[in-house]
Amino acid sequence: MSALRRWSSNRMAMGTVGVGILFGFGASASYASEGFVASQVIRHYAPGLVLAAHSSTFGMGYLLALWGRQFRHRQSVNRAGLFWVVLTGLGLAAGTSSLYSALGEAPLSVVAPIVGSVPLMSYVFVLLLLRGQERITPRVLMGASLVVAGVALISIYNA
Amino acid sequence: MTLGIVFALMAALGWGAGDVFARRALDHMPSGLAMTLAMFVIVPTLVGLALLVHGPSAFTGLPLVFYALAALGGALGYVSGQLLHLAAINKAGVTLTAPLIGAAPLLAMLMGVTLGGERPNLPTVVGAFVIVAGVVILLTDRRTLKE
Repeated sequence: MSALRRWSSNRMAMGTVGVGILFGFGASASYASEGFVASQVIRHYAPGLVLAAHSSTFGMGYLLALWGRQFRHRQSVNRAGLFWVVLTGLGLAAGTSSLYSALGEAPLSVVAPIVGSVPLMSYVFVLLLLRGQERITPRVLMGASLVVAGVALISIYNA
Repeated sequence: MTLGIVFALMAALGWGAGDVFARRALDHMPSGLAMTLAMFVIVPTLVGLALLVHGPSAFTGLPLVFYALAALGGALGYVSGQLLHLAAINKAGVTLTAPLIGAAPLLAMLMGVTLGGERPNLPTVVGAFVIVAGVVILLTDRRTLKE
């Protein structure tokens, strides 16, 4: 009976992770499409930082339209949650603005492989802040390193 | 050049840290609310930087097509992109999600081939195989998948 329960709980956990993986691929496809649009805009109409400012303003408008009800219902947000959200915003804004600044100072062939190391940077922070919540196995580290190497290869030879 | 490398490292550091900070934020609220609140930090920062670097011209005299494409970019990056990204972190964790998101250049390459009629060179094809191998290794790690 306990084996059946364990099997059932394992299947449920893998199902949740599976949905997360699908979401991850969906996000990856969205970012790739956004990158394609951004490259056209930067090439023909405006600098990257100007585009980032406008895109984020539009993005905020969409999110407020979708999630504004949460604010009207005054969904409670505790201080710890707010603290991590502010840090998330600062991290993402720093990432976006630094990328566009980097592209103004160095060629894409130098910038892209460094920026491609995001998964490995994430792992450093996972070790610092999510110890006990997430585990980085040698297999995961090897898989992420291959992804970073592949991205670097594509970036360097297409810059 | 050195400054460019420093900025590139800062970009990787910012996004890498952002993923983990988001994971902690998601312990306290749903992903949509977390992303909406984070935008109250992201937008003023990016708008302020654009004004600082480009002055008022960053917001004047831009053609209509720019606004249309910026609106499309906002939908792809911040609605479908960031929301799915945070939902993925919430369900699969940073450890699995970060490399999947990192594989976006592979999808961009596939788009270039299928939609843009591009012909990838040999290093690009090799790079694509290396990325796919990495993703397969990640997705077959049973210890991580069971957590």
